[in-house]
Amino acid sequence: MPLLKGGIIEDDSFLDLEDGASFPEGASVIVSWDRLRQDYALLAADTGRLGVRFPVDSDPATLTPFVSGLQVIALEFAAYTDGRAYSLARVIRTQLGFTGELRATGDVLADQVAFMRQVGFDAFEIRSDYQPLDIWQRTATAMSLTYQPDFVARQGFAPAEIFNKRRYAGS
Amino acid sequence: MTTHILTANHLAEGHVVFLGENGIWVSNANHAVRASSPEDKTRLDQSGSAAKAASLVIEPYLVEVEANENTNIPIKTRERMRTLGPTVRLDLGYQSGTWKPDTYAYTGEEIVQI
Amino acid sequence: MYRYDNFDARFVSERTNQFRDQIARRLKGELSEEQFRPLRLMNGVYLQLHAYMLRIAIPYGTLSGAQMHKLADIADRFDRSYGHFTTRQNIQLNWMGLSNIPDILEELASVEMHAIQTSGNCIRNVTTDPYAGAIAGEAEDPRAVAELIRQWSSLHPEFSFLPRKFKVAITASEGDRAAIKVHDVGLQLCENDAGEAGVRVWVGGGLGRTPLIASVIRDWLPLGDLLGYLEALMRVYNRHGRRDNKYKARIKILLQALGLEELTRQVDAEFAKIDHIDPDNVRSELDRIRAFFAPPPLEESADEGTLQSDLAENQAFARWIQNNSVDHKVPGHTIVTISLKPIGGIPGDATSDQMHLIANLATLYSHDEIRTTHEQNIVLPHVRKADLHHLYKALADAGLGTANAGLASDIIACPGLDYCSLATARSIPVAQNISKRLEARENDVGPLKIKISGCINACGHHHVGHIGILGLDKAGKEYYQITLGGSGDENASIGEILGPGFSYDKIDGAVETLVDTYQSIRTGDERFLDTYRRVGADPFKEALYATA
Repeated sequence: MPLLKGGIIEDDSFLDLEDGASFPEGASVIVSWDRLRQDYALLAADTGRLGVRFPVDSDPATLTPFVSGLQVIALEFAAYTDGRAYSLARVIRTQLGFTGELRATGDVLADQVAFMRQVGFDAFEIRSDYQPLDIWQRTATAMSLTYQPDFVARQGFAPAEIFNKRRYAGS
Repeated sequence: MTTHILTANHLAEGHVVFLGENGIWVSNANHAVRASSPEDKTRLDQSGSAAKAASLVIEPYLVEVEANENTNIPIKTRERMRTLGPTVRLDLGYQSGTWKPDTYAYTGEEIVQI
Repeated sequence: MYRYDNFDARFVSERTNQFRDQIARRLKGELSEEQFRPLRLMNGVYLQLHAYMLRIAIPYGTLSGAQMHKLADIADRFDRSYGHFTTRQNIQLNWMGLSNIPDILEELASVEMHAIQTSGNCIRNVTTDPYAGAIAGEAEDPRAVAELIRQWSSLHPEFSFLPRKFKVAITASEGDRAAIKVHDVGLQLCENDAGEAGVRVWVGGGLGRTPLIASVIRDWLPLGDLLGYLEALMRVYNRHGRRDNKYKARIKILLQALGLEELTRQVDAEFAKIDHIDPDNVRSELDRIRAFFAPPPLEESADEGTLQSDLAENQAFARWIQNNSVDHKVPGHTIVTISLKPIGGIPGDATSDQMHLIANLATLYSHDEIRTTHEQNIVLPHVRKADLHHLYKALADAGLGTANAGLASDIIACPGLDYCSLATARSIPVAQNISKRLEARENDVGPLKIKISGCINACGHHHVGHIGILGLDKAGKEYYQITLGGSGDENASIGEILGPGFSYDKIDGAVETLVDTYQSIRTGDERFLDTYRRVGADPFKEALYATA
């Protein structure tokens, strides 16, 4: 499935590995949370890059021992109205210090990408409701300001923090 | 045997509409196409889904009516109110006689204003 | 009043353009209704029974004259020349087309207003005491903190898709006119023992299917920590609130499931991890906002003009003053309630002409300030006593002089089946019938809060009515259940169901029987609620059902 990353649409270089499927040596794979815990030693020893599909009803603190070995954490939006992944992303970035790719999967809508970027997502799976790239870009940049302190996107277009601007610009 | 008509709200303008003859959505429930057989009801339902998919109406659904010679009177209070307007403001809604939204049709290919 | 700076103005303007683009994509079919629905809701657009409805935010119920004029203009130009003031201090227009809405939002933005987050599963309009900044005994004007929360919660990226809607109310008085104990979060501004400004946090109150009174989750919190604390609390709710059943999705159900102790532990643990919200930043922003809520320059003049002789000569005016006015904290001034409950009228509705008049009178007599109340009335907060008679005459001429604030005919009613697509029964005509029935003796009856909801969602707050009425559908017929003994104030309580319900034709008579019963058993100047609390439900049940 194509990914929106850094403002461009690219092919996914990771393989979504089913549980029970053997992993090709040296390949970049994303595995389930169960598989990660079960086979972590094996997976981490491989030279390929590693990602996990982390369930949004799990405690993100349980990811702590794995964070340093992960290049991708994928959080699924079962429906785009299910906002749990926003909080998880926030915790994974600000409390677990994860700096790799945080990927939004599932029901990812162009109109939600701006919020997703603000909580720390930086890659977005584009499903069947694919819309032209210009719509994704337009919706992502519709709001240039945010009231929430420290909720700015990590890369690319970042809305400005109003509270800080006021305080330090003396406006 | 029960009789149903198809209702929805117009997507762009919001007002209550009923499916009339020839795919034309009308504001007067008395001009709505009736369906009594399961086949006819399915056909009405499909017309609703098609008009929804064509971005003409939203939330189409069947309404049970008492079918008289010249009138379709919905059985439920809620649905009767949708054909008329609020009971507490007789000057508002279709019952006022002054609210006449434009009528639209979905030809199967495009939306046309009648 | 708060005024937008360039950031606020740009924010609202960009939001309007964003929604304009979304509407255009919807009309072209690029967004499906399922994708669009939550987007339109978060911009205040519902599909109701007859058309779209636009709910416009009136943050913490404060309006200027110019803003009220603009609302009236919009009602004239785009709707049917009236508006409905709601129990969340907002205003609704009922006959909207989708295609007009971006233009309306632009009009609103020109007077620093919007419709952001008046619906949707997000943090809704923060409500407060309509007497804020005018009544004596407040810790401070709660609207500054309300504005801080309005800004912080606006398009919050983490909390825009919560399990369910989230309502915050705030008061700075011991006497609670904001019903904070029946909100998801209630905030009470107060000082700690050292005299520092802070806030007590209540959580898990609410009405709806499971009415509950809130619990204190934090006895005192310095104001600099408020946003960090709210972020922690919202995060715990967002992660753990139920999403499988929308009737069990509010934070009150999470509180019930976890217990107060465990919820407190989880919120405190999360709060301890939040270090990115600098309390100095919050305090500095709050100080900036506070400056906008500096009290108006009121003269402490005791000059009442001809008030005493006018009162003596004009009985209707005297009754209006008695029922619809409260002392201002500055001597020589009054807080005035303009009732939107004319006898037999539609609770909370005002015509555009009436809105224009209220705007003009506010400019003339109330330092250009208007408040909307959760009881669906209007307040002019800063009126000189010497101006009261002029004000009253102008209001009375326009049908706005009803002297019934807090009395039996001052009824809260949701729009009910006449307008609302969720309703199961009508509310408005029930309110109209009760109001007509009780008008003649309501001054003798005294304080009585009757609240009517047209479905279990309880938008008419029936659970906290002294007499609450819930309209339901029973085999295709409207019928109405009565609860007694509810209250939304500082001694909040949830009303108890009295017995079998009544038909549409019988419900106003049943309410009259309850009032008869109260009048026959009250002692001294006991209010209806006090009598009920003293004697319980039995005498009322007997009066209603014994002969039936």
